[in-house]
Amino acid sequence: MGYFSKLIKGYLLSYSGLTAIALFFSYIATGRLQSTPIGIESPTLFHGLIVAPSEEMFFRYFVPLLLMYLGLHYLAAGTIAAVGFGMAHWWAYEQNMYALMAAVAAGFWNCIVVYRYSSKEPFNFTPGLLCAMLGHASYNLTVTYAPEMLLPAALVGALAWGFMEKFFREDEDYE
Amino acid sequence: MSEEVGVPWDAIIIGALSIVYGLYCMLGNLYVGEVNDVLVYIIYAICMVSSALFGWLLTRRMEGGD
Repeated sequence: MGYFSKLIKGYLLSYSGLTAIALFFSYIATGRLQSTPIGIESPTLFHGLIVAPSEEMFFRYFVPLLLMYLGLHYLAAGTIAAVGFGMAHWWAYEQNMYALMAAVAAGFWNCIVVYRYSSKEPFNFTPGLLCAMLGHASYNLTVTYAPEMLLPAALVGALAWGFMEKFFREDEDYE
Repeated sequence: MSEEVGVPWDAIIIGALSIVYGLYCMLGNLYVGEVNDVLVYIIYAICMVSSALFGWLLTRRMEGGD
């Protein structure tokens, strides 16, 4: 039960945060609350099923783990990986600086989610990494197929996360 | 090494399932895309598998106290 409670809370925090970040940078760039256009017309398969899990596995697990091996704390390693995550979108976002900053912020946000919702001692990325994967995948699907739903999705996700945090805290120490 | 670490098996299992399901979509008639998308799929799949594999190996090395 504790595992699923953490999984749901982490997922909600990741999804609502990524959505809010996209809206924030979109507002700075365009003055409107819509997502920054990413200019990619790919099917659901890649945005939802391959891109998000693969990027999270690389930038929220492997790269930070490599830096942790060198002695860094996960949050420091994750911050460096978040910058790499943003730079990896250089071509996909066509050098749009606002979109790149949004990607760096999104990477940092998911780094916090992974750290907050992963069990410690040992720090095994569970279920934080899965939360980040699912949140990222859901965000990609929303921004691709229903960008007009970003604002309501961010609000509903944040409210649901707040509700869960308030009423399901007893499951934190499930380990 | 600053922290004791473990392997995220849940995320690795979901990642593996996403690769298998993506393959199923492309091999069946469910997927309508471009050849370029297939290359992207292969690149991302390799990225996921290698990240999981090298992450696991790195974790074992860290557990070994190196």
